[in-house]
Amino acid sequence: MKLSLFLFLIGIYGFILNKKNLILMIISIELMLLAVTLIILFNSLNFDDLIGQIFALYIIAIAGAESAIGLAILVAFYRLRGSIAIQA
Amino acid sequence: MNIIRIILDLLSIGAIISAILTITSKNPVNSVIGLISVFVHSSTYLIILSLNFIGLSYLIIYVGAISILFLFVVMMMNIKYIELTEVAQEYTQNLPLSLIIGSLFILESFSSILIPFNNFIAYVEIWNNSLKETNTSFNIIDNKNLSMVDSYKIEDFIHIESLGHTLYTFGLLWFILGSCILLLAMVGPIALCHTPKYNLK
Repeated sequence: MKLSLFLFLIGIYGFILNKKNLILMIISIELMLLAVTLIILFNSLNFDDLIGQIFALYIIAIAGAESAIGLAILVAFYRLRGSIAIQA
Repeated sequence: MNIIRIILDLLSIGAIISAILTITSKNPVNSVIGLISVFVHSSTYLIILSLNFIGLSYLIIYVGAISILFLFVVMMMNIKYIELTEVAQEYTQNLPLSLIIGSLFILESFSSILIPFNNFIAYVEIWNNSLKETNTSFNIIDNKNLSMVDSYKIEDFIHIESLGHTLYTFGLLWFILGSCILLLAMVGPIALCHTPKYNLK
């Protein structure tokens, strides 16, 4: 539980500190999804319930879709602007 | 089991250190390698906690697909190094906002979660002992709520079998919805990155 809370906190910090870099923002979103899935899995172990693990499988599928679409947006952004730095 | 506890602590410390290396490195290739390290550590953690199938699917999907996709995109895009060092200089500018949001998150999480943190290792040990008794299989006989199908009462299921039964029986609609989302994730990047050429001869 501590592990997943710290991972979520590191994901938030990465999302805020790397505001100009789009790749690190998507990586931070992946870290936060991993932390949320770990919380769900540990709670499903604590309560001896199988629904949490099913939900973790759904979250894995959603994370794959999210990273694919995010990287496609990144490639389109790079083609349009010529750089990946977001103008503040 | 004291050794298992020590191994779990080492794995979580390694995951946190590699996550910090992920968000603070200047070169994106190093940060993707840190992301792979976080995924490997957490999947090993899950496998030790006897969540075998989910740990292995983490290893396959995250490390084998998503991180390699990140690495491919990062290496394909040939980013100028000067831009990235300029980005790294903005840390001190964003630091107060991150401290405010991080302290809010810490306050919220430690005041709202009802499960005590100190008893978690005890829960894990109880879980491991119960797994040892039932010969690493989920025993659905004890579950009174699942008595709608009688064949549940005869067999023992291993982990992946019980996951599959629940996924295909009770979560069928969500399974189809997830497949539609994956189809959208296939069509979306094609529509985003496709540049049509009109002057074909």
